[in-house]
Amino acid sequence: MTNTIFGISEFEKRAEIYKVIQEDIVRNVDVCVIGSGAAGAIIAEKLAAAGKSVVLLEKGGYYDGESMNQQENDMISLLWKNSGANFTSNLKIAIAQGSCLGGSTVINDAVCFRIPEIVIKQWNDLGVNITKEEWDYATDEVSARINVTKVTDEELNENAKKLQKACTTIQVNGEPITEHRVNDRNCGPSWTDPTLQSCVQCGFCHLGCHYDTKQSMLVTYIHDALQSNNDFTAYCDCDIKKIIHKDGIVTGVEGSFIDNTGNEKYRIRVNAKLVVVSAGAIASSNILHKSGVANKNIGQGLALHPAPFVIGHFNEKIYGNRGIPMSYTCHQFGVTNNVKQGGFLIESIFLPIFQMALAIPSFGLDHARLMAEFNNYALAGIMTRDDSVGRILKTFGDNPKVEYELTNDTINDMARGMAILARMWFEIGADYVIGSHSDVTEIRSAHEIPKLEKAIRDNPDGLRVGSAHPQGGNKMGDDPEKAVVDSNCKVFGFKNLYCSDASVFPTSLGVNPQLTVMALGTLTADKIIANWPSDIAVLDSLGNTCDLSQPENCLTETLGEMFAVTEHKPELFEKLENSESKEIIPGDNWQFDKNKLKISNNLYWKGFYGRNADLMTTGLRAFGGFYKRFRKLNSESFSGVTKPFNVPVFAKSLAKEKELAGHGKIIHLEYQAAPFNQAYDILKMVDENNILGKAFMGRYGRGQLLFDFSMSKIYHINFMGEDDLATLFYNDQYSHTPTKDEMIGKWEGMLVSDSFVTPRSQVFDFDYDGSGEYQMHYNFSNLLQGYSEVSANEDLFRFDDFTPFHDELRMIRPDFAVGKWVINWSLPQSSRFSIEELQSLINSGASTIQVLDSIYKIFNLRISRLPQEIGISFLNVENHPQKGSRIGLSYILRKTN
Amino acid sequence: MPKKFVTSYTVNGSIQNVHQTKFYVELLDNDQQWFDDRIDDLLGSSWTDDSGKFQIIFDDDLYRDNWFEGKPELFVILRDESGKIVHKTNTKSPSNPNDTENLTFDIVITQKVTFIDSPYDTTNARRIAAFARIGDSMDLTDNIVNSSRLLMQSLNAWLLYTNEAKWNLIGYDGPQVERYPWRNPHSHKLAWSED
Ligand SMILES: Cc1cc2nc3c(=O)[nH]c(=O)nc-3n(C[C@H](O)[C@H](O)[C@H](O)COP(=O)(O)OP(=O)(O)OC[C@H]3O[C@@H](n4cnc5c(N)ncnc54)[C@H](O)[C@@H]3O)c2cc1C
Ligand code: SF4
Repeated sequence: MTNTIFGISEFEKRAEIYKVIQEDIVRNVDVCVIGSGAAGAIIAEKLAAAGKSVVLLEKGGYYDGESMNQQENDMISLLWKNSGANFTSNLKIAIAQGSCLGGSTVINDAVCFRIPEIVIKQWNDLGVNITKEEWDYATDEVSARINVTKVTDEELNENAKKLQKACTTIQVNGEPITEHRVNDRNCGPSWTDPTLQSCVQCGFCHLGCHYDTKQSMLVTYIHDALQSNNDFTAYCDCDIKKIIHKDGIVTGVEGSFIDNTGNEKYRIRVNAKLVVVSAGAIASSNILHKSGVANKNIGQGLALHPAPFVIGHFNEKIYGNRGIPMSYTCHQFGVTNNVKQGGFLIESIFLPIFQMALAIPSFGLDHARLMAEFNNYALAGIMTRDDSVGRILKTFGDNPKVEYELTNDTINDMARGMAILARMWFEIGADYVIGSHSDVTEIRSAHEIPKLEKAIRDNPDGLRVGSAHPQGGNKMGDDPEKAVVDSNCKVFGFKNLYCSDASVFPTSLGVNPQLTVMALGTLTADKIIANWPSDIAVLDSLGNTCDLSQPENCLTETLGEMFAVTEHKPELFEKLENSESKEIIPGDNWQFDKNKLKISNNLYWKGFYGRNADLMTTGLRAFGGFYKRFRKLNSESFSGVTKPFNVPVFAKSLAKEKELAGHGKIIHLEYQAAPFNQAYDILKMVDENNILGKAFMGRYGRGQLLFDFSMSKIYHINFMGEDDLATLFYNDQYSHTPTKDEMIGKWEGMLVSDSFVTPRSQVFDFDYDGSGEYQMHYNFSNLLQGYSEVSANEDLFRFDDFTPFHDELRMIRPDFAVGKWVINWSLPQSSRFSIEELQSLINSGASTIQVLDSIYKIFNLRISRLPQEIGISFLNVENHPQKGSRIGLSYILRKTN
Repeated sequence: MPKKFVTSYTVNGSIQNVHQTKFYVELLDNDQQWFDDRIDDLLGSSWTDDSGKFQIIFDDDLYRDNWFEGKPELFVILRDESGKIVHKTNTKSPSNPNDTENLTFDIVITQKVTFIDSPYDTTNARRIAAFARIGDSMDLTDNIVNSSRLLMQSLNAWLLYTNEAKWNLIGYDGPQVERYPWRNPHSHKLAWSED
């Protein structure tokens, strides 16, 4: 066994080699696969077997069979996406998907259907160039590995036998039902318990297979890749947020290792020659959206296979929970019986008790009464082949929002299917039937079935419908105008980005999809190998991970750890010196790297705290920003000044190299005047542009540590200050006034203060509306939304909203702009001001800014202008030769598509 | 100025029972241990040599900053190459520079035993975070009735039907393995199987 699974949680025991991550991860590999489900696991294993170095990134955790304890309360929250709380935006349909190593294959019912021939043809007509022969070889290859075999008659439980009996008993429109049979399933020998050769029939498939007999991706392809000598690593608890790309070439991905409540613990950057998105339907579209992949079809055409249930109550005990949950299917009305449009399968299924309680559409005592009969129920579902009418949007919070409404055709199929199934139960002796509809929960005889049908048609909102098969959203086809990926699953417009999973299905499949998704994964891997982009090299990048060369990205504790083991470089002591000028001189003491979006600033050393998300550190980052500036005094020392950005304080200091017990050589920064001389810093220069530091209170060498920090002369634009932004904004060498067309698209904005660049605070969407009018839609943190009028000429790109402020934009790169939300202000010239004057100013309806300024004067602050920085805030003041005195906010804009 | 007498101490040590030998060793005085490692009471530091040994020499004026401080209370922190703390020893108080027993730290790192997370401990935290995450994915305003009904029914199902007492009342078989299956050897036989 050579390969390892990494994750965040620390456990006692795991079946595979498992290690806990304790720092940010950067990997350079050939292939990066996002999502370890039916498609992703196969693609990763096959590409590793073909000699590529592969990382498999999975948002969920790694849980082995032994940790699957069959308790719904534990397992749904561990193995299911969003702990089971996953719905369409109207809350009408609950969508079940897996989120763990192995994806939905870990929690599915192991039913295997080959892709129906009708569907192959229909997809061919829609531009999918995959032949029946290709589907066949891929399906055969997968079926052999996951041991697809027919359920035997002995394996049918009482629940399945009820459906079998009903199918042989009932006639529909005077015709017998001819198409019904046992299912194929992927069960086989357990690798962890050699005494088990096949399904134990415990009935807990939805909670993971404790016995490892279900041949999910976890125990087949992923297990193979882990046990092999191939270059393969799996990272779990790893939420991939973004694919990094430029001009149709993908260079890598970025994401976070998340704890059990979804908060970032560490970061990951994978630099790869090729990226495959296999995060499953909905998530894959969301990742493409978040990564700014520009294709209007992303998110369109989602199907769900929505499935209502019908329960039959029988006098005898059935114990439906005992045995294989899904082993028998009635195909008569579905695509597997040549139904070309819509249709449905009637599938035997049984649910553990908590899921059954959710499925029964009643409440209170009624619900308790019905649940008391749990052991006497036979259950089957109507799995409809719906139209691909859903869509996935990206919300302000970057979440996927699933909009889906049942169409009339699907509602009619549901009504028809539920009526047939209800009749089936009655005909084989049920004394009452429960349908998934809140208006007609119980029906006591076959005569009442029309009531149920009517309720479904009249009030479809009353249906209790679940989906376990979301498909589509990134349709496959040959026309980039209509599809997202081509028949090789390569994303249109990209050389090395693939998307392969249930999200690429161009229509709903009509049968349970896992085997088709797996066959597709097999085909994708083979096609990638055949068309390997050999001209692409790995671009080595640290992204936003922590490193000695970019300590602003580190956690506080990592800063401390790096400080302990990194030596100060005395030969760099000279480089402590900052520029003579205290003003920015573009091209001299201040430069901008347009490609890397990095600022190098020798005005001062900009200070940074850890990136931790706790309240204390966030507060420090937002309001406690500082810089230190040094000038050489003599060969042994520098005079320094420490300036907190938000406070008018200049703390003078003396910097000298010294030996300090335990630390070796360091720079001692001694503050020279009270009260700062109660504190001191020790610094280590780790390279020309980066310093690690510790601030102490007390006597030098014996003080109490206050905090760890770093300082840099080069930093990413995500750490810029207001002067940096102004320099970019007002200099033609860095920015230009954009045209309306250049700004078309969605941009996310982050407010800039000297200390801190906020997370996304606004989204601007520039486009022409239906009537050809150019406009901008804004959304501020979901709180304020509306449209702004845009006016643009060669000197000014400006837009106005309902406030007296207006925005001005300058473009730096096609995907990066800077903006200001400003108002001009002027002041009465007198430097003193009386309360009476203030009173009359307020009465005359003066602006807030004028009033504020007057208050300053009343308190005799002897200033005729507001200070450059108004207290602890993002509000800043500028005095521009042409634009005059202005006050407002500054922000950066990053294009998202 | 009164003359200050300074005594030097030599601490020796070795690290055994680990795959790697390269550690960064920090020697600290324990006089303010309630501040944990946030105090700058470092007496010395050193990397281990190829055989996992280290030596740190320090002068007693480093810890004698209070008149009442008599003997040093020494302890050692081991860091790996990235600076992560991997081990912390108990304290030793050498009575004089010749008290070699208390100036020697032979550290045996035993296999880290961690029972830190049972995978199930965080079930509720996960679920609450999951509901919070639904956030802006829902059009709640359009569906107040529907959403409250769903919430109430989910709560009802969760409170009642994840509860063993209720299962027994209904006669539901429940899980066929214990809650922490990996902790004890157990049978894979089902309660209802005939053989
Ligand atoms: C309860 C249930 C029962 C089912 N029963 C059957 C059945 O019996 N037969 C059948 O044919 N089908 C069944 N299915 C459906 C089948 O399992 C899925 O259609 C199939 O697994 C889809 O494969 P996929 O690769 O598209 O996605 P998945 O298998 O869902 O895998 C996607 C993976 O990507 C991960 N991911 C998502 N976002 C990110 C991100 N940002 N970063 C990293 N990783 C991410 C997810 O956590 C997940 O593990 C069932 C599904 C469910 C939920
Ligand atoms: S029914 Fe079979 S496949 Fe499903 S969990 Fe139990 S043993 Fe595993």
